[in-house]
Amino acid sequence: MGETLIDADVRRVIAAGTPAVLVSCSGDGVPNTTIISQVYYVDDRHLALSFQFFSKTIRNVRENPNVCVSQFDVETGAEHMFKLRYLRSETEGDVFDEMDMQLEAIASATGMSGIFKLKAADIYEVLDVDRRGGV
Amino acid sequence: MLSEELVAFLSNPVVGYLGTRNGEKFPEAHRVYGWRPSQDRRSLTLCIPTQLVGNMISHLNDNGQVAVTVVDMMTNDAYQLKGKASAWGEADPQELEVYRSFKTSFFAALELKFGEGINALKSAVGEPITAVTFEVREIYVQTPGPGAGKQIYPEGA
Repeated sequence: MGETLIDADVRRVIAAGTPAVLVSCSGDGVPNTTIISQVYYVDDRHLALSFQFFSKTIRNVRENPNVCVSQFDVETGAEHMFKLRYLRSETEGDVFDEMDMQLEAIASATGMSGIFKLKAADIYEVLDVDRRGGV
Repeated sequence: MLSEELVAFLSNPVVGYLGTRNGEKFPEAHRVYGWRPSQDRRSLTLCIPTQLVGNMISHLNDNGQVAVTVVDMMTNDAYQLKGKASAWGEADPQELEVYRSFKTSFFAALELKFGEGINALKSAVGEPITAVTFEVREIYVQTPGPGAGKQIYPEGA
């Protein structure tokens, strides 16, 4: 059993639901940045990210599975940096169903109903979590 | 080149993130607090609180590859700019002014939406500031919807 990387403080930030940024990198070394609506806690070593329509990210993670996600902590102003490795995409099951329901709520709250649609729950292994800045 | 429309967009208190990567192609994100287009609109200077730069400097020394997402959280309008960094280091007085002006307008916009609950955040972001200038080589629309991913610069690419 590995070290727990997602502690209670990190789970609080994830649960707050702040939009996050995902940085991927193509096989030939070009970074790609995109805002993602959802970071979903799976367990202490895994997160799921919503795959909606950012096809460049999907192409990149197929070439290079290493990505970085940064999520802003609205309580402290810190940035939580997750170093992740893509494992697989799920299009059914408990994680997918829960994320689909959450995404619909996010879409409704942000005027994006009919635009946000979950294509897959992408499962990532958490390699490292770093906290930068904040009070 | 940045269009006049995009320069106008960047004058709003939008959220920005810079992406870099190391020699093993492991990427990293850095929150941006302010930007200034060059007079010819071919490059953009970003202001990043030094406490948030992480491994950015070593990444830029290694390869200089950058991508920046800017998003208006009120409208969800978003763009991604890609290019290669040409200069980086401690912000000069003009760049510090860009950062301070952005911070003032950004937190004023946040306060309108979230009230005084954001007061703690104001003190969480501070100087010194690191500035990164890059030549803009590609621009993409990232606004959620069917147009997401469309390349708008260079035209016809």
